[in-house]
Amino acid sequence: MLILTRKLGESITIGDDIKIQVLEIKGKQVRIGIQAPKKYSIHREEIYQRIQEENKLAAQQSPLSLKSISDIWKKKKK
Amino acid sequence: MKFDTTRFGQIEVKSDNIVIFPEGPLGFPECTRFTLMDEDKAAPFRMLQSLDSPSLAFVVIDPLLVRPDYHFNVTREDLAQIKAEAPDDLIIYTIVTMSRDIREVTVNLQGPLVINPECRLGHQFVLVDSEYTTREKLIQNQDELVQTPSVPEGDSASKTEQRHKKAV
Repeated sequence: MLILTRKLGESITIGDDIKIQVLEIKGKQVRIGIQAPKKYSIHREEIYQRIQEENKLAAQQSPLSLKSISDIWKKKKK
Repeated sequence: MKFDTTRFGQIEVKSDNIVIFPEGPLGFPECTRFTLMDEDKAAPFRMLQSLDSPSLAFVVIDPLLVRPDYHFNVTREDLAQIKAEAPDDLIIYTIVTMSRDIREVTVNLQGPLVINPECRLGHQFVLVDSEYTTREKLIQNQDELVQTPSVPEGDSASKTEQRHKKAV
């Protein structure tokens, strides 16, 4: 991993079209501004990872047949 | 077109019934083609079957059946992913994470699958600043449950049998 030290207000550019800027530093929190083309989806890593992990778990747990889960809805009162 | 699947054997899928997730659901970037499968009596649950990985299938459900007030904000960029200009007429599913205990079954309301039926493009949205998590209980409170054993019948029967044997 490339590690750079930046001061408040300074930026990093990646390629021609991505710019990352340190906007604010407050205690242990850093506000970061990102300029990038719309084709890149940018997420807070923990949310992205949580959904990724949940997808993997859901895929693992999905039953061989829906028949086994058809009861569930019946158990839920209308 | 014919596809092999672990759960449904070889299935014939018309191109009209193929939904493309260009980026795949998160964690499955290589699985872009899916189709929705139904089984007798399984409604309102459906199976989102991958056509690229035979064993990959997600149980999905309309989130409004789980939370009638389910809602989230979308951006133009989100909509652009599925070539939609407005959030109308989009189909939304939430992925269900199954569990043997019905009280532990959860739905991922933070990562809804949004499909534009017109061009059959799908995308898993990531809800930032959302009031929902990836693990919302399908059954929100116990009172909603009809009092029946929570494990499938076959299993509970064998457990009773084991207990019985031990007692003997």
